Amino acid sequence: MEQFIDLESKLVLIAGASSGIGRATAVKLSKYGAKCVLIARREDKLRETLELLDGGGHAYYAADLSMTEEISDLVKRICGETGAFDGMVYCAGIGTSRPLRMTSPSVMQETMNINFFAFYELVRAISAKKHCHEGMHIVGISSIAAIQGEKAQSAYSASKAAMDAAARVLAQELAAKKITVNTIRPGMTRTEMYDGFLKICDESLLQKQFLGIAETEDIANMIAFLLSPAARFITGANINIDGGYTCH
Amino acid sequence: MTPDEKLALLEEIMESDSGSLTPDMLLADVEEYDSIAKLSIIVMMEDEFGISLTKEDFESFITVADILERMRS
Repeated sequence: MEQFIDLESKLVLIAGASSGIGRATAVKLSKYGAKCVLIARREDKLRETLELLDGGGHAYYAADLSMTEEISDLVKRICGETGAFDGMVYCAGIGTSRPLRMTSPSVMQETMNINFFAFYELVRAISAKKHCHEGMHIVGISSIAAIQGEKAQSAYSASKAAMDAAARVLAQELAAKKITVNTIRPGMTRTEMYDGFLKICDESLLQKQFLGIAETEDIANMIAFLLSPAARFITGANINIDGGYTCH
Repeated sequence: MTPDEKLALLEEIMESDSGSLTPDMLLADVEEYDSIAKLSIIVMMEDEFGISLTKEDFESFITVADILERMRS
């Protein structure tokens, strides 16, 4: 029987792999045969993720991606040790919930740094000819917050909308290298970030997502598909996986 | 932080006029105590006191003093 998603021996970099969607993605991709290179700040959590993976040939690098000026050298070093990449998934990010008056320039900078600037710089570094194979697939984890305004989400929403917009442009710029660039917009998903949000969110928001709360595997399934040859014709797309949240 | 400083901080967060809040005021009577004010109080509590408030906390807040009482490091 033909396997719909085949990532056998594909080398995929996963940023933000220490928990949540990033960890679930690493686990999922390894089941499809991919070799995963994990990046996050916390080495102990990266080791935990590594132990959950199927197969061998995986690696991890503890790094703070909010230090965007260091990303280029980091990618160069990693590629020197692992070889060029076939895919990249950007799951790193923070969920900022602050009303306008409490969103200082430093809060906005911190949010944009890890949620958008680091994504952009990682794409810039990894899409260099010597760092990727032709036909590499790039997936950024955005959010329905990019298109649905909710109080106290301005910094977070803006950072995710920036990622979506950049992906649509980069898809065109990188098409000559046969690189695809897409983002996924998860709705409310059972992660640590969601636990914090749940403490303060309005009950009506939970009702809008009428299929319930997504599991991280629901998002990882789409990521695996977008990284596979079966998705070669999808690029510049911002794909909602939101249990119906945005269909009202 | 003194009680007066806490009250002044709360007024600043809620954009209330200086001196307009007193501890015994009912929050239901404070015009500025809306959903944005509540979100601002959540952020202030985390930033200044390391306290994570929940929806249940807000249901238990009846007077200004109830919020001031939680403003402890």
